[in-house]
Parts: sequence; C-alpha cells; structure tokens
Amino acid sequence: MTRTRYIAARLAQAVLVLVGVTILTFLLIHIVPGNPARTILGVHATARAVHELDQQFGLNQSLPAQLWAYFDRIIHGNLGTSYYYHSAVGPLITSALPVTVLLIAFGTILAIVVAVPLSLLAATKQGKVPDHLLRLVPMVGLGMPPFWIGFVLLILLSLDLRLFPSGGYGSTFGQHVQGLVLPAITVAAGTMPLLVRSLRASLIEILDSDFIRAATAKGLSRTRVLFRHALRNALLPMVSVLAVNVSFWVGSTVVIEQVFNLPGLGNLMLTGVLNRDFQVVQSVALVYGVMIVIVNLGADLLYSYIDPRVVLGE
Amino acid sequence: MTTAPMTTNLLEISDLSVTMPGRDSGSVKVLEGFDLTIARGEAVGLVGESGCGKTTTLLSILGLLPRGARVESGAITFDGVDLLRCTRRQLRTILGRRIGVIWQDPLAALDPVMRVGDQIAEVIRAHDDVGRGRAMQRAKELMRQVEMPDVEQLARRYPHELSGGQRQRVVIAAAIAASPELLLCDEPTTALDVTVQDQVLGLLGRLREELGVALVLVSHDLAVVGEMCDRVSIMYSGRIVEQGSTDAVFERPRHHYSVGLLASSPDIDRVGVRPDGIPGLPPGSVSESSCAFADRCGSADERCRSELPVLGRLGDRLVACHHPAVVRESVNG
Ligand SMILES: Nc1ncnc2c1ncn2[C@@H]1O[C@H](COP(=O)(O)OP(=O)(O)OP(=O)(O)O)[C@@H](O)[C@H]1O
Ligand code: SF4
Ligand SMILES: [Mg+2]
Repeated sequence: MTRTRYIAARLAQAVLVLVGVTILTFLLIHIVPGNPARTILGVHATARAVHELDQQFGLNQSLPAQLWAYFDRIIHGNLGTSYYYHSAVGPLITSALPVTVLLIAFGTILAIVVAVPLSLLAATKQGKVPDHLLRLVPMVGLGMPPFWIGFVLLILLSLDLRLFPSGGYGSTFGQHVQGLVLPAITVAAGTMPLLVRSLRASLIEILDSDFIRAATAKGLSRTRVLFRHALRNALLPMVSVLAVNVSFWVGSTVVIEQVFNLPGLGNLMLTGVLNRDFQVVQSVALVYGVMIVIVNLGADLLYSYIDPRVVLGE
Repeated sequence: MTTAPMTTNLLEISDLSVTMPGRDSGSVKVLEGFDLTIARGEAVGLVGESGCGKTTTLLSILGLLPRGARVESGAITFDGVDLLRCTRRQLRTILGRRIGVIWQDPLAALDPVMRVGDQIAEVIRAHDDVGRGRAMQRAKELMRQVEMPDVEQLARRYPHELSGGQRQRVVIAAAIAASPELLLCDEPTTALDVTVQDQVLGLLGRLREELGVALVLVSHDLAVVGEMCDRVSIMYSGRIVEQGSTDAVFERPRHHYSVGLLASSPDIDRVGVRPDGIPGLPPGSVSESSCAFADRCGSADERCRSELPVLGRLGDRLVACHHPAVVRESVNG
C-alpha cells in the first residue's frame, strides 16, 4: 500500500516535470532574439516568406494560445515538419532514438560490468597495491574527454587493426551491434571512473559496518557477505550515480555520434542546429527531456525495490 | 587419553594483547596480558567502564577486529582450535555454528535490506545442507522459540519495520540458530527500552538453561551480571583487575576499582547512568609501570605509581592490587 502511494507520487511528479519540459521546449523559439521566422529563414528571406512562416508557426497569436496549440499538437504525436529534410519530424526521431538509447544502454551496462568487480577489489584491498592502481584509473579516465578516448579507440582498433567498423550503423541488427561496440566503450570509459569512485567509497563504508561484522560472525562465506550483504547495500548509491550519469549522456552523445558517424539523436540535433531546422531542434530537445524524466523515474522506482526504507522515508 | 588432553575449558584466552590504531599513525595498546577461561555451560560476566576493552575482547575472539587493530601476542583457543592462527575456512565452521553473537545494537547488526526471516535462515543454510524452504521453516521455529508473535508475518518484515525488542529477538534467534556452544553477548540490552530490557534478559536466561550454552556477558549492569553469571571479570583500562565467582566478588570486592564500581551501582544503570560514580577518568592507554587506577584510588601510594600490580591469587579469587581492600561485611547492606 505504501509502495503504491510512493509510486503514484513519483508518477505525478514525473508528469509535472514533463509538462515543464514541454513548456521549456515551447519557449525555445521565443528565446532566440529577434523574429524567429526571420532567424530561421535567414536575412535574405522576403517579408512575405517571413509572414507566411509566422502564420504557420502561429506566431501572430497570443502566447497562451500558441502554447495550447503546441500542447495539442504534441499530445497528438505531431512533431511538425523538418525544413531541411522536407519530411515529418516524427519518423526522423523514431529512427534516431534507438541508436542513442542502445548506445547509452550498452555503454552503461559495460561500465557496470567492469566497475562492480573493480570496486569490490579496491574496497576489500583498501590501501594495498590493487587499490592504489585502481585509483589511478579514475584519474586517467576523468582526465580525458570521452571523445578523445573515442578517437584513440577508433585509430587503434578500427583504422590500424580493422577489428571494428570505423563508423556507421549498418542496416542489420548485427551491424548495429558491431557499429556500437567502440562508441559504447567510449561511453563506458566516461561512466566507469565515476562509478568505481562512488562504489568503492560506499563499499568501504559498508564493509566497516556492524551488520557486515555480524554477517561474518554468522560464518557465512566471504562471497555471500560481499555480494548478498555489502554489494546489495551499495546498490542504492550506485543507482543515484547512474541516474545522474545516464541523464548526462542523453545530451552528451552528440560528440560520440559525430566521431563514430552514428545516426542518433545527437546527430539529428546537430544537423538541426546547423541548418536552423527549428522543428527538429525543438522536438529532439523535447525527446531529451522525456528521456531524462523517464530515467529518473525509473531510478526512483528502482530505489523502492532495492531499499525498503525508501518507501518509509517518504 | 594419551595425546590430546581432554580440556574442560571451552574457550581459553591467554596473555592476549591488542593494539588499536592511534592518532598520528601510532598505535595504542587497549588490551594487555588478558587471560580468560570459560568452561562448558558456564556464564562469565565482563564488566568495566566504557573503553576498557570489553568489545575488543569479543571481536578478538571472532577475528573481527577493526581495520588497523592488531593482536600483538597471546592465544585464543576454542575447544582446542587456535582461533588466531587457524584458516579462514576453519574459522567459518566455528563462527555462527559453535559461537553465536548477540550484538549491542540490533538495528545496526541486521542487514537493512534483507527480510529478518532470511537473516536467520542464512545461518542455518551456511552450516547445514538444507533447502530454502526447510531453513525458513526452521527460522520461524526459532522466532517462536525467542517468543515472537505473528511469526509468519514478522519473518517477512525488514529490520526497520520491527520494534527494538523484536529486532534483538531476531539477533538472538540468528545467534542460536545453529545451536552454538558459546554465546558472546555485548551489552545485549543497552540499546533497548527499559521496559523490554527485562524481557530480553529473562529470555536469555531461559535459553541458557534450555540450551546449556556457555555465555560471555558484557554488561554495565552489575545487577544483571550478578543474576546471570557464575563468574565475573572486572576490567580496568585493558586489563583484568579482579576475577572470581560472582558471589565472592560482588559481596567482598578486593580491588579498589571493584569496590567503587559496586558502591556506585545500585540500580542507577537502569536509567542509563553508567557506573562512573568513581571520580576521575580512566587513562587512554594501558599502563606498563604503574597501577592504571592509581590516580583515582584512595589507597594509592608510591609503589602503586611505580610498579605494575600483577593479577595474582588472593584467597578465592584473582586480584591485581598492591594493597587489596579489606573485606567489609556485606557491602550491599
Ligand atoms: N576502530 C577503532 N579504532 C581505534 N581505536 C578503537 C577502535 N575501536 C575501539 N578503540 C579503542 O579501543 C579501546 C577499547 O574499546 P572497546 O570498544 O573494546 O571498549 P568497551 O569496553 O567495549 O567500551 P564500551 O563500554 O563503550 O562499549 C578504547 O580506548 C577505544 O577508544
Ligand atoms: S594497586 Fe594501588 S592504586 Fe591500584 S587499586 Fe591497588 S591500591 Fe589502588
Ligand atoms: Mg563495547
């Protein structure tokens, strides 16, 4: 019952944030200084063309009326028309979205798979050689921008060794996966150090707590103490870090998609901006917002399953 | 009868010295020349001011000293097994199985994200080859044995969903799950409401009779130790200063610290006041060349300040004092 209430509260919160995000993307067009239609069409456009575009955008209506029209359009799944591609924005997004989602998902999973054993090793060997070595990894990782890691991987593994395609997404699922390996490693390389750092810190704290001593005194195997008790309790802070990190990647795959020539949302966004393709920019921004809301909602729901105290704390 | 002599003692601690990490990367001696033996089925109380090393003693037995702490010398033998030198695997067959622990703060001692029934059942599964269902069934039996109501429902709760007394019962159930021969109790009621303290102590007393288990009871509450323990060790600043049968020590204390401790005790502990009616504070580290109690002792003289009193036999007990207190008749009036 309490959990149902918790979930309901989180959902309501998410809906509110979504409305806010939608309003923000709506305001995008008004933030640009000067007449938006003029900005879009360029200095050489005729007054008549500008006027027509104003009409089409409904820019001559009152702001609330425009906002209402925008909501109405979005709710009906109409994301407008791209000037650059001469097609509806909806399908453009539908084809770009999976690329970005898969990229972030693969990268994050990879980061978790690597970070968990490393953190356990560092935390259990605190202050010893493996720990010191591992503490260098985050420093190196954090010191390098992800796109640089991407370039190195590209040059080393694709151009030199020809292990992976140097870019592109292919057309079959197999090709997709192949094309995503290096970009996902790049995402993971950016995520892993943060994850190791926070996981190591929380594990060290947990390993020194009374209930771990109590669990050991029960005569449980070391594995059970580490995984079933210590790691399980470290999941909560880990989910927080991941939620923030995934939210960050949602808007930050632009560079990676550029380096590896992936037709994802970032790519769509960049071409949109470069070509003043306003509807595309607005829609991608909206999708980014929705993704971030969903990630954080998911994290909140996960909390309540990982830690029964979260529900109580509300 | 030729090789290994049958020892009647279940636990033998001899000449144990432990250091803790101190400030400025130095180390501080917190336990020195500590001896304690416990016979099968015997209950021994460990009494002393905060910081005198009671918990450290228990953690040494379990091999669970905090990071940076070190056993400098000594031996701890459990039924012939050297606990300080045996392998981790060997230790695991003793911990939980033959030695159970009841912790001071049950909320901290339970995993916050695991159902309490599972926390009892995992002890059973760690030591017996039984399935999940069977272990859980046994866990529920244990919960009934420690007098918990609504077992079916409570077993599925998380620690934060139980009351303090119920939590401690869960800890006790986990401690006795594998029918241990020795129970280590570190102030088992200090963290509990006054109203449930007596219930939990009553339960411990009953379980001890039912299971015939030996007991080390760390407590500030002299009344409890007097009631439950056959023998008592009075600790002061990392050493045992007096040891003997509970009756003898409580009725005729000979070390001046014991005298002060007992004089300041009458039931004030029940409202959370610690037995610190003796003016002054214990020293921070174990002393090597004087009596640690000298600064607070009315009978102290030059010898006390320059020569360490060793624990020696004095009639019916062991005392570490140069000028033992004269026996007064019936301290408790
Ligand atoms: N983790 C630690 N690091 C450094 N010193 C410690 C640590 N744990 C305990 N000590 C020190 O060791 C000494 C003995 O502590 P211990 O916990 O055994 O006392 P205690 O008799 O159990 O006290 P209390 O009645 O307060 O529980 C104290 O001086 C304490 O400051
Ligand atoms: S040795 Fe001296 S100072 Fe210490 S308790 Fe005995 S009389 Fe007091
Ligand atoms: Mg203690």
